Amino acid sequence: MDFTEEQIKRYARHIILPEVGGEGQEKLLSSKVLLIGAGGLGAPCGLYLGAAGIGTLGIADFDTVDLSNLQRQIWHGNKDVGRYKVDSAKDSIERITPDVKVITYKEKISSDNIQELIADYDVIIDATDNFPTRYLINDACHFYGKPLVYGSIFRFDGQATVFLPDNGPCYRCLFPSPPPAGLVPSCQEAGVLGVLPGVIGAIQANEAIKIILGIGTTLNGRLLIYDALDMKFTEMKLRQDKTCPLCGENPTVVELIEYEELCEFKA
Amino acid sequence: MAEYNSELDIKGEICPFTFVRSKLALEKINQGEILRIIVDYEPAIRNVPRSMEEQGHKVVSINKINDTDYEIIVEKNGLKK
Amino acid sequence: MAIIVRIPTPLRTLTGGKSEVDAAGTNILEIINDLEKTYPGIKERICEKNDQVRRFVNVYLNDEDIRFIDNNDSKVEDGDTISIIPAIAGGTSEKKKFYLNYPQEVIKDPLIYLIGKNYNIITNIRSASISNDIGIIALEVEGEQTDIEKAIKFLESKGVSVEPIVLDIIE
Repeated sequence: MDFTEEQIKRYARHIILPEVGGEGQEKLLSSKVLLIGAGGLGAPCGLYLGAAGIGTLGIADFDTVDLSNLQRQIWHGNKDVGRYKVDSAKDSIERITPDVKVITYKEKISSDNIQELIADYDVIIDATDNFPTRYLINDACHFYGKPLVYGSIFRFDGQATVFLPDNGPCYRCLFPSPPPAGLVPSCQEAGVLGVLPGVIGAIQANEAIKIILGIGTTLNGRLLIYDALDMKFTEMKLRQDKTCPLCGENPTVVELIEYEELCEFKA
Repeated sequence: MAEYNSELDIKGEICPFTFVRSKLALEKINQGEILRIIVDYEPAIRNVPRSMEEQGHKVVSINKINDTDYEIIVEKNGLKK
Repeated sequence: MAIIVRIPTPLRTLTGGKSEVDAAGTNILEIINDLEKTYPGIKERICEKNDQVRRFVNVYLNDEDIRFIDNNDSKVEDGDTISIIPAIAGGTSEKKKFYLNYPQEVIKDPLIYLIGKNYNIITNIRSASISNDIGIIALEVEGEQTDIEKAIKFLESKGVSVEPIVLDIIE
């Protein structure tokens, strides 16, 4: 593939890097990434992936933009309030570059449609905000062999890691089951510093790009913990759990299940 | 004049795009082959060779070829042997 | 013997806002019990009634998950750092607006009362047009996203069509 004059200028700073080069940029331009969640994590992640020239960027979110999103979901603006988040996201990517084919999905992700949704993509990014969808994405990526870049935030705390298929660990090795509904912080307790998803979402974009290029060392096997209040990054070992219900020796989750009910189980 | 396998004329181009285009041209030739780069932007005869060597390519020679132009002769991965 | 325990933000309400606290003990359970003495209520956020660490909380001794050492019996020494890392999902309470289009047979049913009561969401009717054979309500709901989704499912199961209000016409 030959770059256009515009692409040579646009991606000059990538091409200069020995680890990327023209060959790496071609890989990015022919890669397909699915971003699930077009909110706080999805915004910085999607913007950087778009700017990096990810050839096909799928964005899945059934939600619409609310004024209270704008404190952190930086690809939506005032004029987007009330629009579908994926439409607003597509516009903001297209404002940056003509190189990225943005495919939007407005359906809610479920056990019924996730296989078809992720099938075409090289890397899946979990930028969601709730436990049922996170377990659904994790399980589907395990069953269908997709690398998954995980990021999560709450108040001032962020977490990020990479789950690779066949190679464990998975999200269930980290947290075997979600909190029961009553122990999830109530509405009044919830909240998030607007910058926090910016930091974690950008890390997710970075990891996705590294996976596509096959460079560096990803967070696979390490859980990155970010404390925005103390400004501390720490990392924990993340091991495959032999007793993991999904990828362990005697799995109990052998197909996609009903995830909405998952959070109501008593621990 | 040196032997070369391929030639890149980027007169009119300035840094860092002189290096960007040189690097893209190098990616298209085989290891050990020689690329001749022609530039007319004087700082490029220092910047391009320095960047080439940083990335493992051997700068065989740099020559002024007329009043305005220079050639930079580079061997792909020549420093990685 | 002083051990440093790192407290995640959700539990800092119990430690007076402190992100790191000292605790004493020779193994993880002793440390947790010592924390409970100083910061009552913290143990039940970390452990089940049988003292086992909850499945959606991980406790790390330095950088190793205690499940891969010796669980609560994992030995701790002076200078060790213990981190408590809960599962987080990023949920924030949001307000959403929907048009509810009632089929005739359920117009008289108290569906909005039921979703508020059963799914713990705040409901606020912003406009409505109800007659004997048509019912359209613009409803604003506030709550956890998963609860809102359950409420929508419930309404749809009753035959109500639920459409997000895409244009912000009722502000």
